[in-house]
Amino acid sequence: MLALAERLALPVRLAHRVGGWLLLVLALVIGYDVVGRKFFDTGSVVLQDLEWHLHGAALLLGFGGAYLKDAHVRVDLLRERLGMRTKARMEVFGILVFMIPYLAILAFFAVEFAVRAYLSGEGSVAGGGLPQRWIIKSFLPLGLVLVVLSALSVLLKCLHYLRDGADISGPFGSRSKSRMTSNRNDLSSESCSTSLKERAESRNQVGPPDCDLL
Amino acid sequence: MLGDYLPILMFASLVLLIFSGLPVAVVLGGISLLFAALGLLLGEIRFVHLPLLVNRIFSGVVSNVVMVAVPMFVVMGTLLEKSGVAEDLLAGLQTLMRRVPGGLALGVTIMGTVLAASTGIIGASVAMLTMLALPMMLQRGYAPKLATGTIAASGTLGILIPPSIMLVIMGDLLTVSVGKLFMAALLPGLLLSVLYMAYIASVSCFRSGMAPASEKPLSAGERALLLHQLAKGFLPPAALIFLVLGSILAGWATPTEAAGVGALGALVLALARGRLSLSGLGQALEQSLTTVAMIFFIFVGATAFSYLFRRFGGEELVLSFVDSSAMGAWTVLGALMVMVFLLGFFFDWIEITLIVLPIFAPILALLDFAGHVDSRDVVYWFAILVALNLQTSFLTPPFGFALFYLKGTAGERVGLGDIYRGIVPFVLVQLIALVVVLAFPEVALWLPKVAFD
Repeated sequence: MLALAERLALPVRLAHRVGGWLLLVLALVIGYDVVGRKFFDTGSVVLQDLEWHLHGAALLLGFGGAYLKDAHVRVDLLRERLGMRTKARMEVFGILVFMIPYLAILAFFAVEFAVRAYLSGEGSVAGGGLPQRWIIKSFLPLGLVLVVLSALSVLLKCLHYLRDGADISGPFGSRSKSRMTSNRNDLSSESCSTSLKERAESRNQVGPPDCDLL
Repeated sequence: MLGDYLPILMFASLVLLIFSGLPVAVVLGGISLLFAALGLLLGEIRFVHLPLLVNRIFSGVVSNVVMVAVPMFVVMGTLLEKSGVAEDLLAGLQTLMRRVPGGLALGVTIMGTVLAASTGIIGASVAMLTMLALPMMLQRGYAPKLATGTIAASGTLGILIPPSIMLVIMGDLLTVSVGKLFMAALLPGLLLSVLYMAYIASVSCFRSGMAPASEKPLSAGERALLLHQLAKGFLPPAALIFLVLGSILAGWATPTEAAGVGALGALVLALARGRLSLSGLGQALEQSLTTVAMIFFIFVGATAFSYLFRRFGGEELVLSFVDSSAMGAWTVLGALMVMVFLLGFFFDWIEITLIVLPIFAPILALLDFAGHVDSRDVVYWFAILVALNLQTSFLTPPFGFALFYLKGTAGERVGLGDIYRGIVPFVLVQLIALVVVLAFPEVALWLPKVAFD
């Protein structure tokens, strides 16, 4: 079960990593665009289109990975006080009743949305921008499917935890600590998920603070 | 009919389910799904309405030129943090202000202001300041309540002082210029920072037991080290921040352009300091993406929620309620402010701006503050008031958001009681600033007016 959970998480993590580097590409494109426009009068609609394409693709690739890292904001005022098993049960409920149905339906419409763009040969609205709008539109269903995968992965881990008890690394994280030194990933010793305070404490032991706690 | 109550039921179930501790985005999505089904059954919406949701999400989250600034500001902040400038900055400020009563606390406030300008992420600023400055302050004999109050208050400056990610998102939701919002936020933000420092300085002067100054004079070697630290720690990030903010405020670059260039600048800075390996860069980028994904995933849920809320006539409901209650503009504003304040106990600004603003923004158009604020400027004024209000709310015991972060990071070194007592004077300062901006809207509106008209 855990092996399957890991396998499901693999493409999600890969996408998250690719998305991270896309942010650097985005910064470079903006830099090139700005220098061109301000100094050489060469600004183009293509570059401007490319900027939001990169932004959109990066964050759609990032949604699933953020869930694996348990980075999505929760209001854990009451949750903090619950036992680990209750938390795991809640997560299972949330994934099965809320998350997967909602995302699956959205992904279904998103596929239609991308296919429609492909069939109609939709291009840039501005004219002179990037053609082939269907490419970025297909990132929408892709991103949503990645979140579904991450949800399935966490679901399996929670179920495993509920069945076998404490002896797991926890649904949110099971990677080695050495690779990511100062990240939320270091929740591996904790279980199904952590509260705000626990997060901050775990960061305290790990190293310098991150910008990923809002 | 039941159909008429759908918006109210939606809102009620949101309030209830959000405390389940499930990710807020998931709660929003789940409720939307539930009520979409209910709406279909009751004939309030038709099936053709549902696929339109995807268009909304695409245009709001993906093909949104304004929002491109958000990931870039996050990357810039993360890289600045990785480059270790913060440590150098604090070390330099500490030495520089060793003779001044309360010098270290003043240094923390200055650093909070600089951090605020560079990242705008509360949890990160508070945790970082706690880790760097709290042990130092306690060791130097500062009263725990002064130390913690200073850290929590300085660390929250980030949501107001530009470039604030919150202001970018507010600008998009309220469809106003982000550059103008930044400008409106600058003076109130600096005002707060100055008021904090005035408080710290007066406490340190009159009750020297709370903030002892160091007696030891500097040797020549230490002086040289100090200059070196300041040059290394203060000048590069200050130059970068000045460049980014300056080009936005001068109207020379859009926030997106400035943010992108700022991210590149931070990268150069981190590389130049030799603090960044290739794998470190990859980590920083992934970490940034996690933050960005977290913000925008709520967007996906909130878009679905507010889309259905509107389809069910929620907007008219809110408007007709405000209309029928015959409240004056000031009463409505007051009610909104109280609501935002209370929400700030439990929620971070992300949920508040993304859920509350779309629902209540239409009310803004109805508000008439003739003679006090020009009708064109009400939106900007309101945004700054909300930001100030939220900041206060993050600091207010017992549920202040920033206080939790501080306690979480500090562990057993300080008690929650000290934190609660320490924050009170800073909350009072916040309230003063809020009242000043309420009474004198020019504090926020003067700068954009001068720059744009």
